[in-house]
Amino acid sequence: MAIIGIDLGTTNSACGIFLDDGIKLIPNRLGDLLTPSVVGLDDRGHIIVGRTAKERLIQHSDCTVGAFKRLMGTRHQIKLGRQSFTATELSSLVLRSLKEDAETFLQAPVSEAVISVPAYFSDNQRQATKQAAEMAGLKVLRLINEPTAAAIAYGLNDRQQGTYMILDMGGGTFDVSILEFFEGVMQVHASAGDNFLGGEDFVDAMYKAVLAELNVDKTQVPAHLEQRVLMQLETAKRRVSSEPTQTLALDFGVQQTEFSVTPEWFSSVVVPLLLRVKAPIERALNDAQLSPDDLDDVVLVGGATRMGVFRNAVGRMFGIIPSCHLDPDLVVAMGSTLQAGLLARNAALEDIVLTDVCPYTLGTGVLNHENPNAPNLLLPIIERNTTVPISIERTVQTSSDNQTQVHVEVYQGEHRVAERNIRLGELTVPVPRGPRGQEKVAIRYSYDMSGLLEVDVRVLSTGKTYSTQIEQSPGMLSDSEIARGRERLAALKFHPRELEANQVLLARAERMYEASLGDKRQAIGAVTAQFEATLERQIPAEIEAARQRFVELLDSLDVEEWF
Amino acid sequence: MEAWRILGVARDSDVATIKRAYALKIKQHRPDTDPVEFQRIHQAYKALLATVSRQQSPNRERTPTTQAFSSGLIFSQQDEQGEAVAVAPAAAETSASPQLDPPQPEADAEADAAHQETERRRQAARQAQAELVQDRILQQQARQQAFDAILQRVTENFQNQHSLIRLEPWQFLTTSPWLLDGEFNHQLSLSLFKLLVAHYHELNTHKRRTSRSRKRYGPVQPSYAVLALFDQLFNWQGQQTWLERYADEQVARPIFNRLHDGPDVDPVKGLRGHATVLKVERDPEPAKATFNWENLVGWLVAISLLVQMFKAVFFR
Repeated sequence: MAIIGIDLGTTNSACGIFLDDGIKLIPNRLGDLLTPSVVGLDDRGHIIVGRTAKERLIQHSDCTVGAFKRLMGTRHQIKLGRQSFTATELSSLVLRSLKEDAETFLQAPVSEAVISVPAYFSDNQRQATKQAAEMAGLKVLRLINEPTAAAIAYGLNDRQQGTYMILDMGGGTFDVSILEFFEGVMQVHASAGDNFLGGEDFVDAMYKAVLAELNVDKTQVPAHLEQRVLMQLETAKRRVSSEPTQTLALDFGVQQTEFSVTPEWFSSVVVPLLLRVKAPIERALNDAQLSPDDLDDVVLVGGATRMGVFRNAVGRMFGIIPSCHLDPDLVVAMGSTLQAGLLARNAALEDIVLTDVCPYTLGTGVLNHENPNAPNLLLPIIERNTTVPISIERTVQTSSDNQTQVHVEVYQGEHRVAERNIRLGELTVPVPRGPRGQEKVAIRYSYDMSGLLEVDVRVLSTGKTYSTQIEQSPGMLSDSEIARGRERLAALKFHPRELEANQVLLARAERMYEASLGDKRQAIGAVTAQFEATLERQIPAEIEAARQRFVELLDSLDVEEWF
Repeated sequence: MEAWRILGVARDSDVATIKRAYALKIKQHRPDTDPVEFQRIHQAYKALLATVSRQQSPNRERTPTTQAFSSGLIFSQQDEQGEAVAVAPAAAETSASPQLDPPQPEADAEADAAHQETERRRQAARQAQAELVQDRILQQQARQQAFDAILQRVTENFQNQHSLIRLEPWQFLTTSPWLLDGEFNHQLSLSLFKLLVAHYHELNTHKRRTSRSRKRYGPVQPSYAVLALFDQLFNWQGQQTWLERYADEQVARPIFNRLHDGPDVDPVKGLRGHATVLKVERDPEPAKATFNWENLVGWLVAISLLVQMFKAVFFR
């Protein structure tokens, strides 16, 4: 049975398989290795995923959505047309699309996968990712941390001993991991990160700055125009280090204007974001008890690390030029695939062991003895950056006389006051009545290789054990809910696969038509009409030829970079 | 020690040997298949590495990471330089002092010449010292001028409410080389902190005084980005306890809480596309059929109305 490795990203997703001759990344139905993580509904209510959906973000922005990975593990409902979805369900649709592509490529059913998640993803978000896969009919054998995945891809590529720092900035998250590679062991020393710092934030910062400079009221900008401006800015962001001045023709509906983007303007706009890069790096180094001199190399991963300003900031910080000889967009997928190969015990990977860490502290709330009226304090049980899998037990006692219940709250985070951390759930266990401090309960936290937590509470006097996989947190689904979700999503019709290539071209032509003026617009309109006429005639060979011509024409006319 | 035995290495093994042994062991007891034994081996490995590195370099100085990065290290170097400046005049005096010894009366002419010579040297020394003092005064003046200029701009910024939520008005701080001077940095940090505390104090009293509807015309809450910039320049979080004692703790606490909470992030804002998002905090409570008097009254009224209608229809 084949196990595929999946990189489920904020902006783009990819998948691969470990074959006997190494990593093979799987192209999707359009022949691309990257599938944009965008989901939409077409006019008949069919699901569209990937580039076709991305092309439709502008014209059909009310029934298309991207970057929903940021809402994983929450109960936000995202409305597309008349239906609404959670981020988990949307992710599940992307996974289903990847799964189908893999099955077509392998000519065999696929039911097991390794999925990468940001190292700093919380327990909630991990569970949500796992559930998304289950809804798509994939069993998750392992969740692997993205920087770890990137690191093993690099480690196995070079087979060099040493200590590396991996900086992974994708579309929505920033992760730092320090990894040592020796004697076939890949040991993660520490991970830290920021769950809300990524390439999309840079585009948002640019958008906000543009609105402020041109005095445009954000609420007055129509939805589809906003999307177009965002896309124009994204293109400008990609080109900013290579072109001294870019002039964008921006249309806000209420106001049409030209705006020039210079590298200086860009770096002044994104300074606040770059400042946020430093803290996780320092924390990771501190936790690993290393100084910058101990690092053999700094490796950049993730599409957003292509930005010149980011590279400069990192270069200044470490005084070295960071390396990035693997494609930063694909390296995480390669790492996930390697992990899948490891799990399948592929002979080529027999002698490799990977160890990872828990990136945040997990603990429980206990009474503040100095001031019992103050909020509870956090009693750390698993300290952050402990090597996993691990299982640790701490004993606590009753805090008042005649107490009959012990309320065990599970928190994740670093703050001294329990409430100010992320609450993962709770568990109430009964204890025999008695004077304060007589009854003791042992709380055991077990953290597995996928980063999922299990809590056992044992009452010492009665010997009874109560256990929970964290349940009560928001965003968590019960088994029946997952089953229902799977049925509901399975009932959704996907856009016919074979038509997708034509669909993506028409969507692209539509976008280009709106974005251009004059002769160019007429030209695009003319070739689109021709192509549509060919489609009507339904002669496959003719369509094939027409599509080729259509692509070439559009390529010659398109000015925006998309991937 | 137990750890040596677990890894099966000799007591005088070096780091490379320990690593090799560890690698070998955990390939037999993989973390995914044998987590308990793996954790035991891992603990032993960590303990051994710590022991060995202590033995090999008992007093190896390690630059604390945070310092290496943050401006802290730059400040401490500058502190030393600052001291060097302060020490310099004293050194000049000591080097000049041998000249101050009373000249030995050997021969009149010689003594005279010597005396003149000494006098000249003394003069030169005095002048050098005066120059140094002058230099220091000038430097002090320059420092004071720079300080005043910066403080003025800072105060102006505080008067313009808008600048507390934007980063650009504060960018000039980062360009001043004086910030690298320890003493200067400290003084500016205190002045700025005082202004900020005063602003928070105003915020508090304003909040208490005014109703919610008028709140937005009052003083604004400084944005995280601005506070974070200050913290980065002046290492406020590092001196939290001290600063809280220095200012009013009650007022200063929100500043540190805000810094600790990190940047505002609203995950919904980052979505692409224009789909409507409904926020659901938790499971909707199942609607319970509850009995209450209002319902009862409603039903009674409805029934009596029906009865009236029946009456109207059938007993006309």
